[in-house]
Amino acid sequence: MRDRRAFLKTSLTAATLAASGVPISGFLRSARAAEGPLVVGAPLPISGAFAANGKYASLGAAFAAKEAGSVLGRTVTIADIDTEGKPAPAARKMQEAMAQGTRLFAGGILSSEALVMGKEAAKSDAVFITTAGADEITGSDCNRGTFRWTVPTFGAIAQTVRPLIAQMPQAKRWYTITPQYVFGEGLLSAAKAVFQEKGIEHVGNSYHSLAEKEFSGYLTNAIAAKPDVLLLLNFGSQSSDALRQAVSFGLKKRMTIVLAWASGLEQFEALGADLCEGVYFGAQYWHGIDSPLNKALVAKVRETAKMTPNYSFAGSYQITKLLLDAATKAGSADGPAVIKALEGLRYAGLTGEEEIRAADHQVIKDYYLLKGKAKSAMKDKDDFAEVIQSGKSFLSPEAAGCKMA
Amino acid sequence: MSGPAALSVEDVHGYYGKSHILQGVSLEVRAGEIVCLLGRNGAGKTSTLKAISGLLPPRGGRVRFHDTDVAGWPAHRIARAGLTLVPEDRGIFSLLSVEENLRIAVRRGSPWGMAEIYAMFPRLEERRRNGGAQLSGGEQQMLSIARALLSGPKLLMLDEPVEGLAPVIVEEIVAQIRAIRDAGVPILLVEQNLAVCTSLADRHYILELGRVAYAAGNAEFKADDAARDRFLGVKAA
Amino acid sequence: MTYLFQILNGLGLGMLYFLLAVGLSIIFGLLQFVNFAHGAFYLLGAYLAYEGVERGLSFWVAMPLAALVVAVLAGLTERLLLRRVYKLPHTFHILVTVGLALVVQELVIILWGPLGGNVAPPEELSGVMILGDFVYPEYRLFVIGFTAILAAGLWWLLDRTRLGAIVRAGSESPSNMALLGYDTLRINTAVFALGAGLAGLAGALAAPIRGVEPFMGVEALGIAFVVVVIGGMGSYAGALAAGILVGVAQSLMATLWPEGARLVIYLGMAGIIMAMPRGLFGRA
Repeated sequence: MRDRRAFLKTSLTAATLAASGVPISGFLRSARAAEGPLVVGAPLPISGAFAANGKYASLGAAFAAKEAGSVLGRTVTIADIDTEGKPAPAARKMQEAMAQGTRLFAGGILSSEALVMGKEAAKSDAVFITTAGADEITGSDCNRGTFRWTVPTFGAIAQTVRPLIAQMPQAKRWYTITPQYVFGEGLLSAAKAVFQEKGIEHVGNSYHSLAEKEFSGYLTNAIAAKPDVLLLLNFGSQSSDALRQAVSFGLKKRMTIVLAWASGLEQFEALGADLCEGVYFGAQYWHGIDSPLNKALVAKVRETAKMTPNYSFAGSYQITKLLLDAATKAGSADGPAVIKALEGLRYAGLTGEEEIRAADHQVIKDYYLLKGKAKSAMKDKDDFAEVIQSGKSFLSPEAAGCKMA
Repeated sequence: MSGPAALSVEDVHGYYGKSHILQGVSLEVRAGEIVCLLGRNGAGKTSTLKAISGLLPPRGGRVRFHDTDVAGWPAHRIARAGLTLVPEDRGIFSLLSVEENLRIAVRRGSPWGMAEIYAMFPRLEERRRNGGAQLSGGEQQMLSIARALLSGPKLLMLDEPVEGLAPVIVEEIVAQIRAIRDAGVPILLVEQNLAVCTSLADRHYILELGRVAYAAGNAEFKADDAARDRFLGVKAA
Repeated sequence: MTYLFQILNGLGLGMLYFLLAVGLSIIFGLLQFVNFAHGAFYLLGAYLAYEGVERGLSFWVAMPLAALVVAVLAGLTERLLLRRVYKLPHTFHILVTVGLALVVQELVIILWGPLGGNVAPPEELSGVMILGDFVYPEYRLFVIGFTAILAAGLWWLLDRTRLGAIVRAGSESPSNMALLGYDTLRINTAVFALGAGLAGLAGALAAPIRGVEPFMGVEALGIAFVVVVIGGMGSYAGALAAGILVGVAQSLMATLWPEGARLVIYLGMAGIIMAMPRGLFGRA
């Protein structure tokens, strides 16, 4: 009787999933959860504007799964879940996956989808670990089910703006360009706080919409304000567009340009070395990081996949690996057990020694300040930047607004 | 006076959707002739011309132009072969000026060039910069005939060329048509105006319900009041 | 002073929009064909220019070459695929061309990857023009001037040449063109190729300003339709006026009300459709 009901539920869910375009093989098998493979869901934007990031993240997760092979005697499989970059499909598909028994999820590239998925995970005793950037993920919206690997806005600003202020004491005038979005506001207020503390003159700010592609207006405003530094607080293709247009307006010759929240290798490839030369970039990860895990990863990926891991790949690899390692440590793939194993976990991560803070589930890790190299100085086709410095800056969980139940 | 058949239509059928409009039309136009095609409204006169010119695909039967079977050819190919139709709506492009309307019709090898046309139709030269739709009815008809000539026709088909025109203009156009025949272009004329038909044509066909119901030479036709009455419902002029 | 700058910038944008939209308008005017693949031609033109420059061609060669290749490809597509769809209702035009656009987009992703790329403006135009406080990239100035010349050339072609008369006549009555001995099918192919080539050229010209990425065709299509609807389907003057209008409006809005830029344009379009359903210069 139980089998028949399980079978019916499986078929119905499988049909729904097939209709929504999700590969069903993993789910059919996970209906018999106790045996069978260990499924890790990878909710990522596989379609939509962020599909490029989703594609590489998916590869990274698959790499981690293959590397682990089997955990707790079960083969590790990744279930790709297409969030389409939107919260509603993300939540719905995650629910469907959880109904199938999946409890471990590594993904969520956009903050909007990550926040929603974190809440879903918390409701169903699942674990969701993400690389999304919004402060609330481990701040005001922190919950038992959510973990986050990336450094939020406070640290991103602290590890880019502060070192540059120290490096360029005469650069007193800063201009900011900010996307009108919660995340942009987060970066901006963190920056303003540093400006105030260090006596920097914030000569102006331009807000723009998330759909903006034409930055010439904001750039001319910036030129008119005569700053020493242009701080770009947007991200993704908007930061690329803004930088490209800034360079075409000759801004590189007039001021220093900083991209506080760059993607990493994928962004450098799209922009090209000439554009990036002399520009400062804040990054969560760089393939040049000198840590044992990163060196091993880069070597293996270069050998097997003939590519250098970019940020989307590496971040996804790391968070997937964390889930698997925690399950091994806990001796179980149940949500609460994995959560317990993750809390307080200290491990050798891609950026060196990393720790998962128990109070807010935030990974304490380095954030990097990179500077674009001249094309002639590149040692290989991926050697776009040198690491200027890195460090850890985090608000305390209380200051970040996290009250974990 | 008339020679071998320039155009020979044999048992041609035509359909508008399911409507069987041409039910086996057969007619002939010989070199040196003007032939008139008459009939009541809806008899199929315009459809016959469309079938010959390729605007309406002829089904069954044959259309032979100077010994070549052109039935089924695309309209532009038939036009290029010299089988030229001046349609009922005259086909003037309002988006073009008069001169442009003429120029796009010019074809190499035609005995009529722009200079000859402007000589034949001085009013067109006067109005050459006007938009095509700004001409009077008579001027538009002259324009469409002029275009047909510029393309070097080997047989000219005219669909109701004098409809709605003042008598003075009608006379002019009748003279033009005769001159064109005299220059060696046989003509197939669809016309409701009996006086025009009998003053121009060598032979007449009358269409009824998609079929040729009557054929006769001009003299015979002029004398045959009964035929005119039966097929056209018109008393002799 | 900022407004002057915004207007100049808007003019540059607008001219690109015009290039993009005029092809769409002509295609609709002549063929009564709703071409949702138009953005794909823009996309292809941009990527072909990118590929050419990556392989070492001068931008001056890559740009017109890209437009030419797009025109040829479009002509082939029209001949082999789209021609069969003309007689079907407009919904089929949309279906087929949307499908085509998606196929092209995916092909681009397969060939060049999903991340996009950068096209450097030619060396001669990589600097900025400085007039006092006013700074403007030389390449953008070039685009304004070049598209203006193209616009003039295109106008001359449509209005003053026999080819232009043929296109206009064909758009009014294909059957009467056939009676004059013109193979309208061949004319259609040529016009479609011309329209697509213009879109490809717009893409190639835009690449050094905007970079290339696989989704740029979608945005271009949206703008092209807005411009054509505002200006009037089938109208050259409409595409020009509306293109500049939309470009300048977008540019000014960026200073006045950034978040509302797009909203204003769509509201404007809605308003114009209600007041003048055929657009500013449209005919039926």
